[in-house]
Amino acid sequence: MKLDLNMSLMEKNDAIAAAIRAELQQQGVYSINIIGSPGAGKTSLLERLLPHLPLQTAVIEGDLATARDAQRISACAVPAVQINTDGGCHLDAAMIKKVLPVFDLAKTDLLIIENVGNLVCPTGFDLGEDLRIVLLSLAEGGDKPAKYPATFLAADLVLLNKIDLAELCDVDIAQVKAEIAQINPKAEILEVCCRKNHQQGLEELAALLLAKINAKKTQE
Amino acid sequence: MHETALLQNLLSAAEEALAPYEVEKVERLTVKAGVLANLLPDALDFAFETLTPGTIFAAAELVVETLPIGARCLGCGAEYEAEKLPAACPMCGGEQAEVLSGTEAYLDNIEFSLKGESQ
Ligand SMILES: Nc1nc2c(ncn2[C@@H]2O[C@H](COP(=O)(O)OP(=O)(O)OP(=O)(O)O)[C@@H](O)[C@H]2O)c(=O)[nH]1
Ligand SMILES: [Mg+2]
Ligand SMILES: [Zn+2]
Repeated sequence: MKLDLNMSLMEKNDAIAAAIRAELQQQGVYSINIIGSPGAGKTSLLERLLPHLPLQTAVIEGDLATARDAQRISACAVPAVQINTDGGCHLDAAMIKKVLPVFDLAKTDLLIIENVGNLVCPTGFDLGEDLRIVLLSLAEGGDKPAKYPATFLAADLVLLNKIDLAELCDVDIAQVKAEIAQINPKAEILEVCCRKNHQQGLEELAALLLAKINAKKTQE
Repeated sequence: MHETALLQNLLSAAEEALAPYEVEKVERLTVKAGVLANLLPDALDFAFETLTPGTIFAAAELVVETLPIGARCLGCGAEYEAEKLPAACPMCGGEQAEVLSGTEAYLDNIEFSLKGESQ
């Protein structure tokens, strides 16, 4: 006999993500999931962005190994927890749920999750976030949106990082933006540079995020 | 390779779904996955072969059917199917479309025989 099921492969993860979303909503915490290749500049972005945010922020760092990224965030005087996936290619909702009790959510405004460096595998895993950022370093080449369409399709905001390297790497920024818009016309796109002494676009990004956080608060 | 973790979930869900039945043999599990679901059929097959020996799925076959992208043109509103992104509109040539489907992945059905049932 045949049993029709129509059962999503993501069902288990989605259920936990929904529970996380409900808890964060109840505690008034806005949450962001940052996805990008290894070395795209995810941690650098946080180091540069955090000083521009007048918010109580907490950070979850995902990496296969080491606590280095969490240490870099702690150095910014922001509470950070490191998840080591020991080979796992993405964070899933169960991992987030497990570490949430470490934070004082009642006193937290913003939770930022830096996913494992990987442009493919984190895409299908909802972490209960309000906003998904895909960070693309232009040094990776301008063809990445076309090669990883599902990743860019799932982005609310695409950050083009390392714009200082665009020219050196023969990347046409306008072309990259056009290709992102073909895949995901709804995604917002911002250019940033996260080098310590050559920062660019971070105040604009902070203002955009604060506007989104306020918009969600007034919506409630 | 996140396919192993997903297949593990799928097998436990399938086992739960089969619990009320007197199963003799599970014949086939059919999975449907959109081309944007980031699921490699080969990786799913490999995970299936690794995880099923010694379980009720040991003799079963895993079938993975790929689903196309469903899109709606932001220019003319036409709905169409595509194999990849970006996908220009076949009606007006417009390059911007809203993706309606193609990221989903699900266990569509299980085929099995019941104890005492002749095949
Ligand atoms: N030129 C340039 N280098 C940058 C920029 N942003 C980050 N980097 C450098 O890129 C390298 C990787 O940065 P990280 O912030 O560690 O990257 P990541 O994405 O967090 O890496 P993983 O967590 O390991 O995946 C470092 O050497 C940074 O200094 C930028 O805007 N321009
Ligand atoms: Mg990092
Ligand atoms: Zn059209």
